[in-house]
Amino acid sequence: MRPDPLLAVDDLRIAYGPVLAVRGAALQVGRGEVVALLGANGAGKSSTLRAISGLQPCSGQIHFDGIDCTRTSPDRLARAGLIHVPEGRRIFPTLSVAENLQVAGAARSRRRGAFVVDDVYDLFPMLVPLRQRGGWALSGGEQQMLAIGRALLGAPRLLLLDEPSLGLAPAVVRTVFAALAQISAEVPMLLVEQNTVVALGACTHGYVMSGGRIVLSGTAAELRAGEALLDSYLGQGDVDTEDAAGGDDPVRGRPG
Amino acid sequence: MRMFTMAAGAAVLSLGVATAAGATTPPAGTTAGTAAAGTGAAAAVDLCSAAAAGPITIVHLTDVKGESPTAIDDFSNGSALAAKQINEQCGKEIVKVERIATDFSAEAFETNVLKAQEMKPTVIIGQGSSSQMSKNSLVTDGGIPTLWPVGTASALKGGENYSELSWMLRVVNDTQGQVWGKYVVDAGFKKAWMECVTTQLGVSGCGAAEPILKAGGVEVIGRSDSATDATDFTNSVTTIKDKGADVVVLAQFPRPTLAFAKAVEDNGLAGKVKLIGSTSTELIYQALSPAAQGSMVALADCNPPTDAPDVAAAYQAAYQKGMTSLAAVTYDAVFMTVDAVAREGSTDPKKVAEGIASTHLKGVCQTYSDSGSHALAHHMVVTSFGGGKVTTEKSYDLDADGKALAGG
Amino acid sequence: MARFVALFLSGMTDGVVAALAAVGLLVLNKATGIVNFAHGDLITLGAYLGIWLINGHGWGYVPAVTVSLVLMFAVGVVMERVSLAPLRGKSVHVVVIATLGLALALRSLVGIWQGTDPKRLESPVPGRSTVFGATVTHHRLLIIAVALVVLVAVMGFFARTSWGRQVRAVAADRVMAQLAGVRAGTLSMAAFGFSAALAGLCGLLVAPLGAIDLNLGFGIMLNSFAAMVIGGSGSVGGVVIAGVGIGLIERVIGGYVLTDYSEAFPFVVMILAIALRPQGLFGQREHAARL
Repeated sequence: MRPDPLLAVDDLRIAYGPVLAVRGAALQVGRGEVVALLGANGAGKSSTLRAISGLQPCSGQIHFDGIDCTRTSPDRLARAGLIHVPEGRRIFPTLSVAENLQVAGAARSRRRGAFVVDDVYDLFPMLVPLRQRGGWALSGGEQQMLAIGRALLGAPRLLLLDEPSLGLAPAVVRTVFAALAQISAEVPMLLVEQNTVVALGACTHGYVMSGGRIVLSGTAAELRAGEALLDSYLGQGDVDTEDAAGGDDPVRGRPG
Repeated sequence: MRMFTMAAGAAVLSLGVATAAGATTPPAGTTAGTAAAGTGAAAAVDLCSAAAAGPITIVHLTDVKGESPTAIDDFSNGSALAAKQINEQCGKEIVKVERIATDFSAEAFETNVLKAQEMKPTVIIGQGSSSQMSKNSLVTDGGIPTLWPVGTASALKGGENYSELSWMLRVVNDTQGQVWGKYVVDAGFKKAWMECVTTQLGVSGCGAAEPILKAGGVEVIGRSDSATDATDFTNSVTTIKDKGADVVVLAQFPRPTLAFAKAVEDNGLAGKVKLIGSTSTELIYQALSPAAQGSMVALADCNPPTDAPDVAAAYQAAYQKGMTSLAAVTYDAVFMTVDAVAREGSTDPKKVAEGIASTHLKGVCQTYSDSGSHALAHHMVVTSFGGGKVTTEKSYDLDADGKALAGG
Repeated sequence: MARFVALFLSGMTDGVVAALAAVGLLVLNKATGIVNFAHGDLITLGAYLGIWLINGHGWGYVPAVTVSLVLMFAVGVVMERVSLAPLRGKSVHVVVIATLGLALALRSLVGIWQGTDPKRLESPVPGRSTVFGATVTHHRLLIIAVALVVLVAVMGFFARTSWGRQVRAVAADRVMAQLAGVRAGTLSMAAFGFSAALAGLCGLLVAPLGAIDLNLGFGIMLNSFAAMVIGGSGSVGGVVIAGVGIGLIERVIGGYVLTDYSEAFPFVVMILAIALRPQGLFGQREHAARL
């Protein structure tokens, strides 16, 4: 039995001109859950995430804790605690690491969050010596950690994470997902990932998208059990995925 | 009633002296005018008789406040006041002034003059912009006589911008330079600084002043040519201070003129150096501090409050500001047109052109006449601004070529 | 020496004023991506507000300047709401053309309101002193002092305050800033107001130097464009240094050589700067493209 949904998406449709990217998707994220949205490249995962955070015009229903996301601006949703860590991290290049974290104060507004600056530096000790460095001078892994840290300081009530493992070395992916596992004790998440192994290791529940539709859903265990079916939707599992997941991935051992 | 009397009366006086082909009397019922008309009463033409030749329409290409960011209301006010006075005095609408809003650019003239010519007016009054006179060929093509409240040597007969249908109501710019030179020599200054403006048409009348200064034994200690929007004259003023000039030929546009005067004052030179401003100074002297007003004189085509006090008073009453020579020349342009129609008995463009060519109108500004070059003005004054009012210091009559003759 | 001091002070005055105007342009450009061609006419409007309150209504300088700046802020906000907010989402070119239209409208409105005759505003500090033989008006010193204080405050604002960081975040990545909860729309509006207030301050400061007419702000705007380009549109500090540099080059060097052409100096420097360092002398190459 899943908890009452914090985020409920129903009959979501997104069109780019004549092309339909999402054709009637439905999904839910409950309090305490880590939900993975899986699928091959172009399945409509990122579009779905962008629609939820108000960046993408769409039709259908999206509700976050009673707020109609289709009629609310992205900055307002952020201030309501719906925090999106977009693909490519999008660190502010002209701001230092410390300033990037301070900007999150806008999303936190007057609410109280579960994380303070020191918690971020505890989660990602690598960022501590980089505090004064400009955003433009960070490596991909450092950017991803900073992006997550910035999201945490925005007092998230739901985190939307778009491809956090993309382009990162395996060791960095492990660090990032270890941190996400800790964070999930406090904040529910909706995680878009192409790295199925890592994602299924981190989530409590998962959806599989293909051709703009949700074609499969279930608990992490159910999806892992139906691996053959999963593969048929996700295409050939690529080598990187296996490498990144590793033999005994620490993430696997820690359900959210 | 009385206001008109004086204006038209002035016209009569001049004609008496000039004994021109036709003379103009003021409309019936005038006092001063009728009395003054004694010398030429027999040949006098009643301005109101122009009505018999048909309606007179004048199209005035001018700034209209709010439609042009560079508006100078004076041109527009002058022609409006003249038409109002003539019509009121004659008891019916004899002359109608239509306005087309324009700025000072040559391009604006191209479109506006065609619009004006399509209206088939008796006369067109141009904008006070010598750069628009570079398009004078359009006046020839359009066939409507055109009066310009400005003057440039290039539009004199034989010049590249000459048109047989266009006349200039103000002294041409090179002549201004000669008056500058002559006044500096006459007033006994010894060391001059030349502050000249560079426009699209080259450097202003400054050049013409220089040989006259040298011939008159005045030392020219230096010269600066700057743009029409120059704002800082620290360099010039420092040199003036170092070399001890006692006079500056300030041949600049309005805002630089004010900035220059301010810089002179700020450097403690007010009262030590006399500034001789250009013809636009009368428009802006009120923005000078009292000290700067005291150290400034300027050229002008005339000084209406002195030359025609009643017209100037009527103007002051109508527009709540002093009448400048700019307002006076467009005022005169309307009288000149009606006078030409009255004498020729026709509004046919060819006839009106002949009427203008043979004019001897004594207007507010001066007695206009064309000695063949199409320059109608032959008179300038030097005015001072002490005490916040315009006073005529000296006046110069000029010959047909615009050479300054003698101070008066 | 007297000559050098006089030229240096005049260059400093021009320079800090250009810098102040350039920072106004820059703040707006950072927060909204717009280059505002009405900036010069906002400078003019500031001067006329001062004249209106001080000469017309006999107000003291401090209340008149304060009220003028508040009014200028409001004018900036109204400008954004009425004419530019409806264009959000349109090409930047459309918006830039719209600012040109605004410039003309503003100029005509000021002309109708205050007339086209030049006006004069007395300095609040009318005295003058002699320094190394040069006459120094106290008003020039006031301009330099006020402008430097304001410029330092603006730099501090952007470096140290939460609002300043948010504007820089919006400048770097508007969408990401919104995802971080930044009210980008409100910030655009505030940036318009702030930029207009800085323009108004420029106008109020320079008004007593010469005469005020409808063209007052135009020349200042041209120099401030040069300062923005030379400084690299990324850094407030760079733009300030460029603005002051331009003023000094124009006046001090122009005071000794090629005097009649000194007004072209800022643009020669600007063209050289564009040719040699497209990102500006003080911009950082790494992220020049993103600003």
